Amino acid sequence: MIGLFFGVIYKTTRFFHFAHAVVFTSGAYFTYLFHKLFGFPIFIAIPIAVALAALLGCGMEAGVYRPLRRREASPMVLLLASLGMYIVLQNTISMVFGDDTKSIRSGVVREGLPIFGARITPIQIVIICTSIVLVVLVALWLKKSRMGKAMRAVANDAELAQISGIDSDRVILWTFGVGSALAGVAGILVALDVDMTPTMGMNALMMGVVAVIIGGVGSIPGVAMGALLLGLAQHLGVWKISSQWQDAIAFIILFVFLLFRPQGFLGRKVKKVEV
Amino acid sequence: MTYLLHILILIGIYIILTTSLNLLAGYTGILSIAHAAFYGVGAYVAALMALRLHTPFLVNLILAVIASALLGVLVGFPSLRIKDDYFIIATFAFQVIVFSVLNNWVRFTGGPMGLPGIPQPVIILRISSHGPFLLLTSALAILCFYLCRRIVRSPFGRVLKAIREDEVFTQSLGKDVSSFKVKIFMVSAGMAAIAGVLYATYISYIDPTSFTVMESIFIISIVIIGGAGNLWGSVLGAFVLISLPELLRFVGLPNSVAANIRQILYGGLLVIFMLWRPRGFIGEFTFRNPSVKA
Amino acid sequence: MTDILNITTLDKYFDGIKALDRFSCRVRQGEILGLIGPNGAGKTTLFNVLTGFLRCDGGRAFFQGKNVVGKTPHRIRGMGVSRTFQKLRLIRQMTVLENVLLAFQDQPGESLTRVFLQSGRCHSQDGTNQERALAYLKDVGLYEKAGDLAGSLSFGQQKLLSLVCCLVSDPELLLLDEPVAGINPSMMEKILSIIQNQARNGKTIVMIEHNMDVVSHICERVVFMDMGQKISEGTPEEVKNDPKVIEAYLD
Repeated sequence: MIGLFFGVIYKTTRFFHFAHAVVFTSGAYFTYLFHKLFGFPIFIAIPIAVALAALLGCGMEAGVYRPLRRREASPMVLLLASLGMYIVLQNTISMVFGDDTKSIRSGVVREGLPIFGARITPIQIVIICTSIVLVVLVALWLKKSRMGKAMRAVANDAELAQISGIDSDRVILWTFGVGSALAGVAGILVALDVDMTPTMGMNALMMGVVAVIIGGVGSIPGVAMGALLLGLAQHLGVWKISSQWQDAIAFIILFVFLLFRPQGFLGRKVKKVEV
Repeated sequence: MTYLLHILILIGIYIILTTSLNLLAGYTGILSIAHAAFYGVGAYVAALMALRLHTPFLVNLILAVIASALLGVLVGFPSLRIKDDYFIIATFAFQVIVFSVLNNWVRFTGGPMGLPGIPQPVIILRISSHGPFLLLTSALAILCFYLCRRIVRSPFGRVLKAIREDEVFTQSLGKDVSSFKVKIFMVSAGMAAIAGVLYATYISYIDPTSFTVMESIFIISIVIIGGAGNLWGSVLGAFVLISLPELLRFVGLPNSVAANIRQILYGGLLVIFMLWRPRGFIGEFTFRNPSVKA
Repeated sequence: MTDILNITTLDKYFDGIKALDRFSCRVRQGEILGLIGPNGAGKTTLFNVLTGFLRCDGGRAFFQGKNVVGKTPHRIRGMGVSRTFQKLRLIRQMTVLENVLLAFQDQPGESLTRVFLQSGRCHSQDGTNQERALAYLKDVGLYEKAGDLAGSLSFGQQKLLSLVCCLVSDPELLLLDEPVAGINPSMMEKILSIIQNQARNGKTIVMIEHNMDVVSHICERVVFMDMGQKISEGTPEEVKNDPKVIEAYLD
């Protein structure tokens, strides 16, 4: 079920923004910072943390990605740069906060209500609802609002969008802002459910990427479906095989999809090099 | 003194890893973050053979190389069908899968507990101390470097570079690009296994945590920072990136953060180099894609 | 005169658009055939299908009696068909000489096992190839540039170089995609004379060109294409005056 909301994280930014993983983690840690260490009540800490996460994402775009795009760097360069940023930031978090698991959970861990034979805690219900709401909101926003339409235009064909008068830099900045904010929220939600460690982001991101590729890049319902399927497959797997193989299952699925159907279920065709 | 030998041995092992990855990523332009998987497979195959079958070192070495090379072919084939950016994700997936296998197949690989007590290499004599081991490592490192150099300077190497720059053009000249790619994967993976065998017999204990995605990323970072497309770059990169963090120890950093600082260092270097000098110190390949833009 | 190339009802779809529509054509050995038509007519697509870079959706094509449809580009090259690209492809990061060396077929040095086990043979073959390459370059006037990066050449020289790379494997059929577009007159003359020389030696050339003067000057026959179909065929004069062609241009 958690799989559903991993899809919320991923935005169409045209290349693999590995550092997104760290934004996710930072969302959780910022909250920790403000809530536990500074003593803010959790309801204030959360929005601040989300805002900071968004800022972090924008910072990465402005500071690193944009200059690279100016130089017409290939997607691989961007990917490597984002890997680098992830490493730096994740280790910073490790250094500052320590590698052990931190918690922002409050209250007693309750048994959870049995639904369909599985046990779902109240927090998980919150997560599911929040994700559904957010996904729907984002999807609507992309469809209806001006910025949303601009984003889709840029994602489709950046040059054309530029010519039509859309300032693609600003659009991309917004994409990062929104995407990062969402990631921050996701991080907080997960932390509320299962606590946080500095490396939680990478795992989450990979699941998100798998979901995106399975469901189809560039299509929100596709991603949601992908995430759902992924979650299901993993949990089904847990029944039959031991839980440690979860990761492997996810990635084998990913591998197979990349091999045979890189556009996922509902995505656009992946272009090969033109002759 | 032993400490110095230790560092040099590590550098030697990493030279093997980086030059082999450079062949694939720097010369042929196939970026891969699965190299630690081949490294690990080499280590585990040799270790298991030594521990369970008590076969001699050289036999283990050869078989580890073959096993890894076959695995390399396995990954090579998807590279023919999957486009660049997505392929990197595929190599990531492969790496994680291999790690999962190493970590979870407890009966076979010892799982997270790893494999302790790997016997030291015996080539006529038992190689038990740092000095002789450094000799062994250096010999193998020099051998690998020489092999890479031969490849790179041959017509085969010329085709690799052409594939990197413009695959379509290369095909139109009558080169079977697919076969080249699969072959270089095989060589690259096989060589990484040599490093793995060295590592296993040196530390005499291996566990999956040495062969993670982060390790793969570390190796590719060295290749890039040292210079993709230039074998000496990989050597230089290995020297710099292995010894630099060690120097930090003398600055008096607490052990707990040393590992983190080390990673921040190379993560930071990666970003900086991408921004200002994608070719690394002395590399040739800047990861541009002129064929797509043309 | 035999047909060196026999194309029958080739079809190619792109997302619902018909790039090649039951296209048929015969090319006689030793002739210089011009392939003309408005942009988007499907000329380059035809080349791509013939050289294995694109799969076609129907139809056949035979080169010297052997089927080429569905084969890989490198095999088709091995059969004796060379091509150039509209978007001038070269390895700009390598020297002129290296580019030419790349074009040689059957190099033992390109086989990994031979590199290590037959290094003497590889070496000597590479030496021979180098001599031949330099001779070619001398013939076309690029000898002084042999050690320069291909990317440092002028546009016209690059086009010349890509033609040389084509010729080095001694192909029977040359598919040239706009070989003289955008270059100065003297270079154009040089390239055209090379092409004519090839024809005199019995090689066949199919040329995509927009420059009608060039086409009238050196092409014996011309095929006019539009919307993936063959609209007209004949001598340049005949085709120019064909009412169907005039109509297509007026559209």
